[in-house]
Amino acid sequence: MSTTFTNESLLSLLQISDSFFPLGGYSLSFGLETLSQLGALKKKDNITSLLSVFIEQLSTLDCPATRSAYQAAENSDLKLIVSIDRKLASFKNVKEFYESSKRSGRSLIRTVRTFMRSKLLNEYSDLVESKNAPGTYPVSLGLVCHELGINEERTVFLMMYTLMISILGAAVRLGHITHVEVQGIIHSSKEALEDAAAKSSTISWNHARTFSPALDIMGMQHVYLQAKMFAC
Amino acid sequence: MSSKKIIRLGIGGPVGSGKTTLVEQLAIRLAKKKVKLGIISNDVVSKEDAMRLHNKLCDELGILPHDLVLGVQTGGCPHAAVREDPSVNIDVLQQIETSHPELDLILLEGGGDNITITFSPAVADFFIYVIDVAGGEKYPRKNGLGIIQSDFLVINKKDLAPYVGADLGVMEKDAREIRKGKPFVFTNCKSGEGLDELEDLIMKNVLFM
Repeated sequence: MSTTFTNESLLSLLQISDSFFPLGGYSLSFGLETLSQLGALKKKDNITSLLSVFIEQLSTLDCPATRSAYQAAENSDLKLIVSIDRKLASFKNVKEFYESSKRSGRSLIRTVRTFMRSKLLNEYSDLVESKNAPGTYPVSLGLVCHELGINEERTVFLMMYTLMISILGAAVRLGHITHVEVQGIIHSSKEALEDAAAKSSTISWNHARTFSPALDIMGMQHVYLQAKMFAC
Repeated sequence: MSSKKIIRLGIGGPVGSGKTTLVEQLAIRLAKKKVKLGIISNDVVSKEDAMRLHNKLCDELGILPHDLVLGVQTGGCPHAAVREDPSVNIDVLQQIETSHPELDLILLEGGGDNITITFSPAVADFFIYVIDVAGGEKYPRKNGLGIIQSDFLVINKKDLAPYVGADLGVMEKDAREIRKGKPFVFTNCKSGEGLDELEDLIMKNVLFM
């Protein structure tokens, strides 16, 4: 595993974690909008609770997927990357979550491919475009970060942070927290993110799992909302 | 392998200016001219506009199949969805272009936004900016990017001018000055007034027909 952290890799990390990077994150709420419309998000505490459940799910499924894809990229093992990708996609039983993950993943690899030369990325991207690989965001990110020289640990943090910002951005736009409160929540989530990253490093991809029925039901109900701002 | 480029025409403008009605009317007119068309409708809240287009164009008139009228939710960021981060629209555009390579044109309706809206060249080859006279006669001279940069400016609901105290002469003078020779059209999308002119502009300058 690469442990060096050059200025170039720092800048690459900043580039792809920036909300300016085109992933469509502004259109995602991961079930928060459903909860909002059900009137279940009256207090800031509700949002932090939801966030902790979300981070826990990332630590047992998405983070191990990112790590495994990253490690497979180290060995240029495209077949394994696709296998991880397909398995992760099969875990996403909420259609809108599944579609959003694929959309963000596709956008990530399409964009990076325009400015970076990488045989592995090109081959994976071709498989995604031809619908022979799902192109989920955590797997795409593992591969892309490896190719950009961002180390595995920071890749995992980047993935969690990006998804967390989507949820919190949705909470601000839905009017449940202010732009200042959200910064406090991000700050107080740092320890949980560190714990999640550490936990994910102990979970082999074969033992990856997810269990958040309430969150899944919220996600599934989202499609039936009459008025909605978000894609999921 | 050569594939035909499907032209993408963006339609942006403030909430309630008449974008969806314009899309509806253009779709009907272009279909009569045998233009093969798809529609993507961005909506800030709900897929209301896409549903309305489905009802009118697919169910009532039968001029488009359901899979050629798609809705996109913009998460409250209509400008981001067509400019700063158009990844969601690019994805839908590619989906529609892959499944329907025979199309000539895709109309991409943006979510209701303000006068600064423009379209990324990655999602629109040309764009129409729609305002309406009820927004005030000052609208054209406000100098928004949409008003200045759009390929075609549509000033809609001209029939409302006497009721809202808007002087169409002032709007025309300002639009002419601000647009520096680029076309603008006064329309009433409900009655169809002005739409012949807009249709001609699109046929000649967008579709080159």
